[in-house]
Amino acid sequence: MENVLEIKSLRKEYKGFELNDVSFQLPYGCIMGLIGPNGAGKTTIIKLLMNLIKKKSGEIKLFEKDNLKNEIEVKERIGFVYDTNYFYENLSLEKMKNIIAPFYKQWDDEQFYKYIKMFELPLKKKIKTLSRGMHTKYACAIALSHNAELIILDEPTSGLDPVFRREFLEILSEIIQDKKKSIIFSTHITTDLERIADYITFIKNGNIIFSDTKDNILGNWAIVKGAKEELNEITKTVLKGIRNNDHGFEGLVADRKIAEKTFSNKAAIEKATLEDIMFFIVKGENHV
Amino acid sequence: MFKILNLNLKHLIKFIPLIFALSVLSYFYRYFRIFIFLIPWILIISFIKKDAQNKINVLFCSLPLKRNKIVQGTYLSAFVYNVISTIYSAFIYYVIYNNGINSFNLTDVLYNVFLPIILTLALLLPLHFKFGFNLDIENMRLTSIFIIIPVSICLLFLFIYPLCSTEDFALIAIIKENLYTFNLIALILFYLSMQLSETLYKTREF
Repeated sequence: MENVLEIKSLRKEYKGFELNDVSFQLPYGCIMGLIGPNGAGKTTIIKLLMNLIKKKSGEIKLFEKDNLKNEIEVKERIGFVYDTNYFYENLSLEKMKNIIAPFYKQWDDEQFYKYIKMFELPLKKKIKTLSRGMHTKYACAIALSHNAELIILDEPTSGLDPVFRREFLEILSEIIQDKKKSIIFSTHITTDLERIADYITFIKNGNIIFSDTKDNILGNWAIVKGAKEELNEITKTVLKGIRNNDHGFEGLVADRKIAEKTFSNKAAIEKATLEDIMFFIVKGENHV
Repeated sequence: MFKILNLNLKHLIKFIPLIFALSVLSYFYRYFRIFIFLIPWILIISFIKKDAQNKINVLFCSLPLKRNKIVQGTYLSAFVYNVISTIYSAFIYYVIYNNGINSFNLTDVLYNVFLPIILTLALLLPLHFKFGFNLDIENMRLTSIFIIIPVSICLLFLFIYPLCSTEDFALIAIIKENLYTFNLIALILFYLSMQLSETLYKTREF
């Protein structure tokens, strides 16, 4: 399958932060969720995709083309939503749209007004009067109105109320129905990913912990619960993160089959949610 | 590039009522005549401020638009702003001063409006493209650069000049005698400043 996004050995350095040899890919027509704790590098990756910051080394291919050499062509096909306000605050929603629209060859006014109606946005109001959620909705309406083939969203659901968040995720699922569009979005909210993502990429401290299909991740990763006596040097090597409690221990394993072999019947092996995985990877090691 | 120009010219429309009001006042009350030369500064400062207060650069850099076109568009807009300001000042100056007692003098307009503004822009815009122009308290030091430079140049050209006779202030005499050459030099500096801004903006991170 061809990839809409392909990142190879991507590196970026800041003071006190380093993005290390990041590599992953996203096939056409899929939704990828980027998860990780704050400061993990999610926004950095998104900024690198959009050429808002300069990479140290590595390769980014969007639509099978280098994102820097074909910058204009690539950006024409991308819709973006960031988590900060990047519009003129004193303009109305409609005026701001009038500024952005001429930059896109394929701008579709009809589509824009459809989304404005769907999101119940006040066209005549100034952007500074919008709430965080409404602002995200507006940014989405802009991103979805020029027939973009790849939608990049940075924390789009964080300011939304639960009802609209669910609605919004449904809209995202609808967008990719024709298999022509793809979506990559970063989030803290793991349940969003469980609902709609096809691929999940987990980043921690600038390193990719895993990047795989959701089904593989949820199928392979598991939580092991057992008595403290079961913890020894061999079993510890299998566990990615361990938490001790009064009753015994809980640990995360990357491969359910290996865990079944290692612990045989001496520990309970349960399905891991994305939240479990994130929690154990981020916090688990500190509790060993 | 022209889309950016178009965008910035639309911004200018907002100032028409203010300009009109000040023009009428300056016609009837002589103390308001200073606005003939101050209005161009109001326009230019508002022009730079507009892009800097918002994170609009993040938007522009995400649109299908090359960064050097953003810089060129801004410089072109600034130049057009300056030309409009100069024509406006010349017109008002002509209406007010060409009354038989004083006579209209294009040199004064070029000296008081076009030259100082183009020089200020040549100095300010590279800073704008490198750092942005933010009126936050945290960026006070940067803000002071943005305020001090235009205000100093403005004072030099606008207020010190009329106070000094040409004999007392040799530099002004030289500039005034070679006004067209100095305007040309200022334009070359403006162009070089654009080249510098393009380089600075290319590597700027958001």
